[in-house]
Amino acid sequence: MRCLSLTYHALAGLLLLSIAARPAAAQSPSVELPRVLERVPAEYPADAAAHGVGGTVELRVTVGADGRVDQVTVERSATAELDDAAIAAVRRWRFTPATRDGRALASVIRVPIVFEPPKSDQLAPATAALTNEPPASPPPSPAGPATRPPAEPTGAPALPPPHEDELQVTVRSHSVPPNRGSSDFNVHVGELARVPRRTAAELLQLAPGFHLSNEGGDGHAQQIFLRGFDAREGQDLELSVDGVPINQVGNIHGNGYADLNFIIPETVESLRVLEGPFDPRQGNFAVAGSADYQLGLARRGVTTKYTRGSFQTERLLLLYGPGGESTHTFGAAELYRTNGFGQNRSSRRGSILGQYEGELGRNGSWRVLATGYTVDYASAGVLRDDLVRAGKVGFFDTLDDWQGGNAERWTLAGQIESHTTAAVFSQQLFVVRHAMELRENFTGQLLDPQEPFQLPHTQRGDRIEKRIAGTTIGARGFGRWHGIAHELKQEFEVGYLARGDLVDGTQDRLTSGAAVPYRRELDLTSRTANIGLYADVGLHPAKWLTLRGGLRGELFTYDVLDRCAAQSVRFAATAGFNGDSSCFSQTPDGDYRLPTASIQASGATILPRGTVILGPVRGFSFSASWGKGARSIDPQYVNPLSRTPLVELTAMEGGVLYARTLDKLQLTARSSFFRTHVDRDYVFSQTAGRNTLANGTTRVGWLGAVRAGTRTVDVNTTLTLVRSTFDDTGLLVPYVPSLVSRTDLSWHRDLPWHPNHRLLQGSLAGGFTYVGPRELPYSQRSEALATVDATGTLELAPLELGLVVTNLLDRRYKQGEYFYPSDFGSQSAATLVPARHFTAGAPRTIFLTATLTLGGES
Amino acid sequence: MPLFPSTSAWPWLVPCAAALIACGSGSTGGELVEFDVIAKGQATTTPTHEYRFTNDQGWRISLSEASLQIGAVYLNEQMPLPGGPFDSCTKSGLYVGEMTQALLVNALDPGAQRFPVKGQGLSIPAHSAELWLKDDRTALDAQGAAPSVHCHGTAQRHGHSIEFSARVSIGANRQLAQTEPNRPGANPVCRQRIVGPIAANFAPSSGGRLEITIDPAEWLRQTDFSTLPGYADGAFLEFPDDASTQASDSLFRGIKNTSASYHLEWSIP
Repeated sequence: MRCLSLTYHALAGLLLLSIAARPAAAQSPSVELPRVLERVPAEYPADAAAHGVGGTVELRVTVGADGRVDQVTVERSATAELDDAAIAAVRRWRFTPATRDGRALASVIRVPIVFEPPKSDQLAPATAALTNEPPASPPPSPAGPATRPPAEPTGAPALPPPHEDELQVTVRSHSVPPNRGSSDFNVHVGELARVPRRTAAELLQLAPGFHLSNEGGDGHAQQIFLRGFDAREGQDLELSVDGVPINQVGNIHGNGYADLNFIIPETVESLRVLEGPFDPRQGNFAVAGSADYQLGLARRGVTTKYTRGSFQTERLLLLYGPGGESTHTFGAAELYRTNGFGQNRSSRRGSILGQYEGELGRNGSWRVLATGYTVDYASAGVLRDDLVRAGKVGFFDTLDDWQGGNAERWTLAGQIESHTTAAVFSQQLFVVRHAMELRENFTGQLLDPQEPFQLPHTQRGDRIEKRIAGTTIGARGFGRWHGIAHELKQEFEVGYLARGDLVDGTQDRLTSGAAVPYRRELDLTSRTANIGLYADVGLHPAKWLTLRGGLRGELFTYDVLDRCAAQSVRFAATAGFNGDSSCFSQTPDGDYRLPTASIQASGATILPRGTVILGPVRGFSFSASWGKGARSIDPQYVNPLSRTPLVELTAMEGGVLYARTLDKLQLTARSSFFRTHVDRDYVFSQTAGRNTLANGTTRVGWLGAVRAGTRTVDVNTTLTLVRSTFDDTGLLVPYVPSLVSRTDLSWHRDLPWHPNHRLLQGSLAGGFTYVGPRELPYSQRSEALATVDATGTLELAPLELGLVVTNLLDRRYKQGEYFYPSDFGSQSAATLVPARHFTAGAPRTIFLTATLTLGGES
Repeated sequence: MPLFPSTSAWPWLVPCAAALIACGSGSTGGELVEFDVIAKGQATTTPTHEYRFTNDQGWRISLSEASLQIGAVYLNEQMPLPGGPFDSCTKSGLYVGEMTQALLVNALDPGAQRFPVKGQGLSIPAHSAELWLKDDRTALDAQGAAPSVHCHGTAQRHGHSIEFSARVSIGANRQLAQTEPNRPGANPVCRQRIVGPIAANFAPSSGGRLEITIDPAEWLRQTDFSTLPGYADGAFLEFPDDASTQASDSLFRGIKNTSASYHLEWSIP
């Protein structure tokens, strides 16, 4: 075998970013500096004024992604008295956050505050000079009564004129890939973090077209539908967290299985969701698209959040954002347990996330991320609809209380990124260890037919137990150069991803009742390697035109040891053969052989991708994208003749993006038409009653999305329509929703009451999901799904109290519906015809939360 | 400053409406169907309601009672493959129709005997069918055996006349001997309960009716009553409930005769 054991040399991980945003950089079209929305003048200390003491205090101010002042430190001191006065004032300033390509970022600015001693007849407050205030900034507005400084007397010294040389801005974020058009979503969570979400996977719904389902229980990965794709548990969606891959190559439950439950939702700062394969940076599994979670914690200090509510659910969350560090330096830990909303739905999980970001000189940064996660859960599985209708089983019951599982995941990653005047270099190294056990029973007693070489038996049961453990080691990096041609910025980038996966997996079939293993169906060790290289060019022939495109090459290699290669024999040996054993040691003709088989395979593909962006014209930009994507073959199906990658697709889209900032309203709206053709895929077959390899499929659709925000309101609403058909028959692809709509809304403001002269803040937030009836096999349609989740909070620092209600209207709904044969003894004779099954959605749940934050500011 | 340029919203709405309409059209193919299932027997031709025929052994038989308990009926898209690879009790092909509620069928009643519930299925052509026989637990014998088939009548040949009764149960008494030691499961007893594959060629449709016609004469087509224990002119003979005699063995084979004893039709009333 080719040596697949990749030795990834550690390009140790440091670094980060930093853009010394001098005026030239500030004119970059991709970066917006923070701007002052509300400025409170510093109060000149009376003693200092009386004695003519003045000077300049230079402050280093961290502006959070929400525009609020996070940390203030003195870089250059005048006197302690003046320092305190300057700090007190700046802490009450409000900003519009820095943005890069429209995505809000935390930033650090240096603010000099000049205290000029008044003349002897002008003992009055001095003023602070903000030197980077752009002309468009609104005039300073008065602060609230509790913080209002003394009114400036007439004749107070005038502000010194802005002095550009005094501006020092550091935008603290890793570099963001260039925008790829109207299906490229850089979603800043921001105030929409207030919307109730049980898992980080639900944050995906901030981008259009996502529908989530879960038939496996709390600790099972979500099944993801996106733009006409059934991406299952991530097999058609490339998922990562700060660049670290989440998809598990070689997971026998599903190649590319991606469990997002290890991500604590409160630590997600933003997501980059790219729907479709239009960016050369997208790699394996980016069939429906890709999503990268970017972690960060705006809230500084120590936060303790306790949640308790329906079904004996409890959650304890600890967050720590050390002062003086960036929002990307934080620690988070979570413990969660619940009895679940019906039979066999309990779960317990714990998760830790820690990240440190440090500076590396003036132009570099480094970052280390460590995560740990473990979960143990029960699962209700699916229910037969006819049993529920007959009243034999309750809507929230289970047909087999043996189902459930456990999982764990450990991650260690390091990254460095350095900037020069004309280039950015980034290197990342990651190691992931994951393991899971999964117990499922979808079919009852159906799949254990009598084989002639077995001792006579009846159906013993279809319980399936899977055990999977794997290790991923890999690296990714890029170098991006930019220069000026025709007075416009031109870019070129090359990069790579290299990962190796070593995965063991077994699948056993167990009896009903005593759960005795009676057959091993799979025993696999796979060693896979994937190296992807890309080159990407960004050209600006004119101010209104951007051309982006490049090539991505993928190489996949497989070395699979199948310890259960022979599952059946036609002619068993007359002696010494045990037909009830698993993993036979004879060929179909009865000759002896080892039960193992070692299989090697490899494949490579070249994937071109490109985008044209026109605009902006009065806030509009028009884009058209085209690209090819690929997904590797599941190692359990590899044979020397395997075609790998298994799936190749071609996607295209055309859309328009409208973005404007008007006064305090930030508005983004987009519309996009898309078409995706897959040459072949696994889809449900009505003739086989299961997922089988099918011919080509085509998806055509439209999406629209609007996000609007002011200081107090943030709304994000999306709508996606899609039609998915088989190329050969023209029939619709079952299960995928054709209409998905989601609206997230958050409202917060300072309330007009001031208990003990303290600021009281309130918020309301909600999420509304509507998924139209989904096509099911045999021309059936599922029920539409509509849910409303809501939350309200009151914050009197340092305490915040909240009420969270999910499924507010208590609608009884089916989260997922499926058609396949099963036999759970519902009739006196076996049921063999495909029938409707479903997983129950949660009823109304109510939670109370108490949050205490000490030592920091939100 | 206006938030949006002064352009009409209509150009946007048209493609959206078209997309919405397009998304809602089409289907995934096929459909679920519900149908009636009835069974009927043969008409009796005598005032005493007997069904008379002559079998291949020369016996002139007069059946006064013939019934069987059908536990389930299944339709499969797979073609019958006699002599094909080993077939377990459930086929690998897609089942496109089923009736899972039992019915005790009087095989001497030509009228429609309706199964208690509707059958469920798919509008996909069926090419084979199976009848799964079930014990009639209401007719336990002294040994506790429940018959799946019961028949009673008289038979005459060469001037000899006998009266007979047969109670056919299916259990260990029907287990075929294992002839290949390395294939102990080659003849599972569950297969003895299955009458099939019966040829079929129709696609179930909603409102349709599956008609199963049973001819009990075929059960006794090869039966030689003289092989029954205690055979004598004028005797009352009971069939052994196993394959120990030609008569009892041929009766069971006749019950499982898929080509002649049963006929399936699809009708749309």
